Amino acid sequence: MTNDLDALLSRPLPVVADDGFSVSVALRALREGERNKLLDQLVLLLTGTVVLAALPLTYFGATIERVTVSLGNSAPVALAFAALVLTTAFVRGVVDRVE
Amino acid sequence: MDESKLIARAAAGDSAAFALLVRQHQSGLRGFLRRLTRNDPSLADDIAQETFLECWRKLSHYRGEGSFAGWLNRIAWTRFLMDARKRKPELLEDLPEQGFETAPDIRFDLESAMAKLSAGERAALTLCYALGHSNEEAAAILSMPLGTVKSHILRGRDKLRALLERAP
Repeated sequence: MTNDLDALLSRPLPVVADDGFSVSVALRALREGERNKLLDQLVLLLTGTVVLAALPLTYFGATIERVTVSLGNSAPVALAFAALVLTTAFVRGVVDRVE
Repeated sequence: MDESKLIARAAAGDSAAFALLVRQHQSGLRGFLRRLTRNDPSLADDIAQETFLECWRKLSHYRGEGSFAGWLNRIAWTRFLMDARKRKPELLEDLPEQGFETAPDIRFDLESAMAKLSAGERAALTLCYALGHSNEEAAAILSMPLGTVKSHILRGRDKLRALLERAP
């Protein structure tokens, strides 16, 4: 009986026909993947909107404007910029002459 | 194609590779679940679908330790336990022996005898005999100590022997 029982138990499980099972599982997985991707994009969009709404954009704009104007009106910055332009022009002139 | 390549492609989001993996493993997994659910094909297939979907979500975590079929069976066993606790707790228990003593006309083949065992006994016997896992692999799949698996096997075999000898 023991040997019979071992042989009986060791028989492979009956084969279960696929009958579209694997296709339906793969389709569900695909749909789930697409839904998750869409959800991720939605969460990203919502987060971006909330962050943008919470940021003090007018304050940032005013600060950037103030800094830009003060840089434009600053003599040292103007001199440094002029020196940079002249140096670049001089270097290009030397290179052109050598070539 | 080599199974490890299929797994790598499916883990990278290739649904065609995943469909091939499902096709290769569906029969074994659904057969295992039919044993666990006392041959309830519709419940077994529901759990099998959920098992494969969880596998799809977790494929990137699969490290290749042990066989892929063993990993699938482990997910299936956990899903089966969750489902049985929620929907059919009687699936986890032994069936009372009076059931077959008062109904001697029932034909006691292996499947109906197997259905009398507890879920742990059915799972351990199926994994170690029909699916060819070692006792250690079965212990890992069922998340049970090795000793518990061995005692499930011994007790399950004793019960099966008694049931089959009593069969008309």
